[in-house]
Amino acid sequence: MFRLLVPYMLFVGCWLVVSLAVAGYGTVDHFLYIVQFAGLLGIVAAGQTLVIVSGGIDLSVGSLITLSAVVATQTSFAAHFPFPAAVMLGLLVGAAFGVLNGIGIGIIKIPPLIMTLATLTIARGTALLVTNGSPHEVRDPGFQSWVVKPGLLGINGILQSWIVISLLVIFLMSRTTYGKKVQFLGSSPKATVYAGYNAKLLTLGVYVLSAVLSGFTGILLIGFTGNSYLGMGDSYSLLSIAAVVMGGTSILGGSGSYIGTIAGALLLTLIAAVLTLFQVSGGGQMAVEGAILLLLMMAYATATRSRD
Amino acid sequence: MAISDRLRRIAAVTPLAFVPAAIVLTVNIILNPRILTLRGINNLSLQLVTLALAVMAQTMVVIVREIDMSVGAMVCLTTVIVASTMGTLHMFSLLLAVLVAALFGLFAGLIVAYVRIPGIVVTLASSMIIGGLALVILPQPMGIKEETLGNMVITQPLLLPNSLLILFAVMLIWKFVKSSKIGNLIYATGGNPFSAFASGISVERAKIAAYVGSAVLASIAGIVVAGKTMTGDATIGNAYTLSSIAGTVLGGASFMGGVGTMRGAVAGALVLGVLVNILFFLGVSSHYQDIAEGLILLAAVTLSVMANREKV
Repeated sequence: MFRLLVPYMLFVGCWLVVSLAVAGYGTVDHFLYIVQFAGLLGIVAAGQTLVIVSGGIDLSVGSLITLSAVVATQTSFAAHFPFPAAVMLGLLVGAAFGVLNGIGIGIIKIPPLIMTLATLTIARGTALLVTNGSPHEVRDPGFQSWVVKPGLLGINGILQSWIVISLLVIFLMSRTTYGKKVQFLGSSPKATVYAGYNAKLLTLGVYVLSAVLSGFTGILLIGFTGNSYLGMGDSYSLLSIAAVVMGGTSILGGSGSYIGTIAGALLLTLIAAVLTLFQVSGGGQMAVEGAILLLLMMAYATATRSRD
Repeated sequence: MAISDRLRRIAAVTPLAFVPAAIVLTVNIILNPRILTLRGINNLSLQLVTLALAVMAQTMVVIVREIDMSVGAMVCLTTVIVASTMGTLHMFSLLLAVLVAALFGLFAGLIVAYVRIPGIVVTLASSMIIGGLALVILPQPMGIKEETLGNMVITQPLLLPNSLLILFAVMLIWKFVKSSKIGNLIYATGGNPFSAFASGISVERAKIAAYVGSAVLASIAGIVVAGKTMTGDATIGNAYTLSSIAGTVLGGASFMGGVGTMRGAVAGALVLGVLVNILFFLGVSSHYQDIAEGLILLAAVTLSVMANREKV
């Protein structure tokens, strides 16, 4: 419970302080803006949560975001695919890399860190081949306005997707046998196999889900920024792991929840927004986020130990 | 009989990575004999020494069954510190850079050892802090004017490239460290942390030492990078985190700890670097470099995983 409460309390606390200190921050509009923006990170971090709970780690999410985005834009722009087909293709390419991760980690038993590092590199190289290094605009006004402009319930496409994905992932993790098995796999891979569960299939599942969710984030990102370029998703690899760990999920696997990760994503986004407001540069933001991540991890570790 | 025994003994202490290293080097020499000229050797050495140092940094922590995701950030921060303080501190800025890196390594090591958080997340967080700091100090790359640094790294007055001599010096120091008390601590901890603990070895101290050592090696790599490019750049070293892990796998270190040598690390770096060279020489577009590196890593780790499985 401590691990769930802390990130939410931190988020609310930060929010209150900033609202009182900075004019214009306390409004509903601004809150909505932060939440919508956090959706991008939140969706990638959903896949990352599943992977980390299963006892793995996925460093390739950032590259897969970029790859799906550039595949979708290139096929619609250069090959004149209709936009929905291009999006499907982008997601499929992402999913293929997820299958690759799953095979390497689940069947060949390559350590997750190394396997996803390899796919990260290969996906980045593929993105370079697809684009030849030049950024491209996206021209699909309908999609872009769905992503950015308030629609159903006054919220934009990012937040709509995030809400749906959150509900699905929370349901998957807490109400289905698959979710429970993934948790078992994280706490003891050996026992999972002895219990007769198919560890290979479970592993494949989490990495494919993570890859598809990254791909989806990439698609949302091109709607949000209006173009795609190399490296556009890179920062999400670290940030998604940070969001998961801040949300109280154990990096060793076996326990954790997406509800915590949501708070982690909100907190990270709020911190970045506040630091931007105070004109702290990208580097400064990264350093502050790293420091907060470290402090939270230490707090969780000490709290867990004193309870034992 | 005696000879075959001797050969077997040599084979036993030679890392497996020497075989592919020798093969790729031979292929490279056949394809492009010019690398055997003084200039060719210097270029090759400049290219490989930074990678070798980064791989050594990674190998150091892999031996104690941890991982260091901040190797790349440490290289960046080092070039930044060197570039921004060279004007006032001259060559002392190198010392400052190594010192700062060692402090960050100590910091990460203390948290890993005493708060008992897995090194992968601690160093992920510390890499954000280190890389962020580098960007704050130098948002834009900055040239280094001090010629001494460039001469120190790039030239080859003693026939052998200076960069190679730096690597030799580091390996010589490692030879002493390895057989010292700290070296024993490090290998014993990685081999089996529980029995190491049970036999009174300070697992904590071994981990701290490994992280400090890794940071120092990464910052030496950073100094060589700064010397060969004559710039301080807060993003120049980011790729080293990935390639250091790839090189460590190629070098035969086990991610289960306790196994891994610096000779192997150098051989791993050689395989990685020279293979990419060969691809270029064969006319493969540089656009394929990432894909090639990823596939090499994948092949190496698959082979090592398969080989270990058969042994068990």
